[in-house]
Amino acid sequence: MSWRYRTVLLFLLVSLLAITARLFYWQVVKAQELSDLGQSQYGSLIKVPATRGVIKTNDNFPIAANKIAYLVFANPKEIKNKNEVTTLLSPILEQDSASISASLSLKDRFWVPLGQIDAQKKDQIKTFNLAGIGFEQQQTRFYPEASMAAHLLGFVGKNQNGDDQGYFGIEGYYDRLLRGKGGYALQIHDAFGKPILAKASETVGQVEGSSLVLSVDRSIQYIAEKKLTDGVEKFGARAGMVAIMDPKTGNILALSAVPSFDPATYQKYDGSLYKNPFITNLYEPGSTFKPLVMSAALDAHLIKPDTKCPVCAGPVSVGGYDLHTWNDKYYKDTTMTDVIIHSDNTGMVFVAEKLGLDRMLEALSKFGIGQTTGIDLQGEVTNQLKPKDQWYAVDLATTGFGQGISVTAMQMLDAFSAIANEGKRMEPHVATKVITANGEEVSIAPKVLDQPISAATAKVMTEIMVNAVNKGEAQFARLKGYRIAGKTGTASIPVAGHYDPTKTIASFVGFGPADDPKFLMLVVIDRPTSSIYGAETAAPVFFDIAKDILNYYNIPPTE
Amino acid sequence: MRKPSIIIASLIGIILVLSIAQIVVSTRISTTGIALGSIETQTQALKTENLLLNEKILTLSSLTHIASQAAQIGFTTKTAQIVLSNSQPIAIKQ
Repeated sequence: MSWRYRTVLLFLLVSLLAITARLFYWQVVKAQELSDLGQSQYGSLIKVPATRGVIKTNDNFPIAANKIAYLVFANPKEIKNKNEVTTLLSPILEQDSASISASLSLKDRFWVPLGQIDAQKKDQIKTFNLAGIGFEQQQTRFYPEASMAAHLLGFVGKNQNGDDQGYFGIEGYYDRLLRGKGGYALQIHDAFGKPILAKASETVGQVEGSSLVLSVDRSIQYIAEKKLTDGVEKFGARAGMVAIMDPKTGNILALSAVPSFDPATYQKYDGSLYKNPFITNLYEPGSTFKPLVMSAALDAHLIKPDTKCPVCAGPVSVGGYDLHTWNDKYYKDTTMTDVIIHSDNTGMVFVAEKLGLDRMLEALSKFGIGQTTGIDLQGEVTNQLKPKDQWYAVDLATTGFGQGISVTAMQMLDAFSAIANEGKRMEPHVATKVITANGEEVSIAPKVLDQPISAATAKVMTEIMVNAVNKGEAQFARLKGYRIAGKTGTASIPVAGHYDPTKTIASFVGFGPADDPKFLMLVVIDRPTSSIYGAETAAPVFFDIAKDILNYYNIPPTE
Repeated sequence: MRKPSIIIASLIGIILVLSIAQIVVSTRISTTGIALGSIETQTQALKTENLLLNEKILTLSSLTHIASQAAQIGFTTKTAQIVLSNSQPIAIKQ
């Protein structure tokens, strides 16, 4: 073999190796990059949001679902008569002509979004046969019961990336579960880079949102909401709220607050209405706090229901302050049962002092005062209790009758679940079941948070509260034939360092039937004007709702 | 030397048969794309219709709607139970 032949062969071999190496580089090492580059010439990856999970009430009715909506878009270059299109679209899109006209003037754009509409409005626009106007099908949140349970549900808005996000209530708390995980699809472009809407590839990487089943009973929610709205109107109050719980499980059966908003059109309402006052507003509970302090003292065997109050003959002086009863009536040697019946502040000063600061702080903590309840709603707040060394003698005394301490209504409701549930305080819960996109069901079990009092104490306290309903200030409103345990509350509102006697927060907390409670309810009426007292405002609303719940549960009278 | 010619003839035969088969199959499935596209469009339309009907059902079966309809046709709220207490004695023996 001649050297020339070998040289040519070597040259060919080296060339072959070089070509193989180059091919390996482009086809293996740079394959993905080239593929992406090629893809970018005819299309681009678009985000495809997952379908948001449905929220159902305990009768499996979707109280928050999804519905078809259409995004109306325009191609300004194709629009021939801008004024005509503006005049036709303005009333349907509920937008002023100027903003539509401005959008249609963006001639350098292929695609300008004009607004979101429902199927009916889409059909209406289609009848105009407008060139340059198109529709893109989307899904939007739909609340079949309109504003019902708005504070409980929250709403779905947009985050900084323009994606759907739940805010407040259930939508906010369970957002990640409900939202699922968005996927991607390849959107094909035409030669000019305009998206061809019908030409998108199959979506990959998408996980649909999970659905939730709530403990909320739609009928009870409806009843509570209607009666509360009527009550707030009747008593000329600024606002009102009510929550109903199953004390044995902590499941929330209904929660409502007025004034409210419509979650579908939340943008039209003032932002202050979005917050759920039942878990975000702190207030002084007033006399509704008395059964909690009394039961702590009963549980510690410091008093008995028939223990006589030695200081109740007149106003009590503590730390330089004179503490009076709400009506300046005094009952000498009154019993502890009568202290609750008459809502006697001086009797509660006696109980609080008997309890002492250490036991009081321990009891408050066990009842969950100063801690969040852990309810599955977004935005719960709490006011932590003062450190022990900052408590004065008068603070201990006023805490006995619910002044000088602030709580959320949810904390109060949860604390009373201990009295209604044999001493066990339950974790309040709204969701009872999660259903994943592939149909897997995960139940959320009831949880005992603490046992502040014994079952025996709970029974004694229940009897005292039944007496308070039957013989107290709210006896005119009580339901005849039923044993309902309850307590009224009228708390003055602290304004600039003093209490304004004309502005009160009226409340009523109670449960029924007392011997086997099916519901525990707290009604709070904010600044009623027709009467400032809980017995004359919150109590009638409570019993009005209780009457319908007992009817709804088919519970017969027992007395 | 006949063997190679048989093999060549067989190979040409197979190629011809496969080519004809490919033409037949291609001709047959060339229109299925349109059919598949139409099925896909139909599926999408049915899904949309299903969602629209679902929306209608939910609206009509909402308590808010039922209550307003009930009020319109004159339904009244359920009367609460009447409690009958023990009857009073006509005369008490002293």
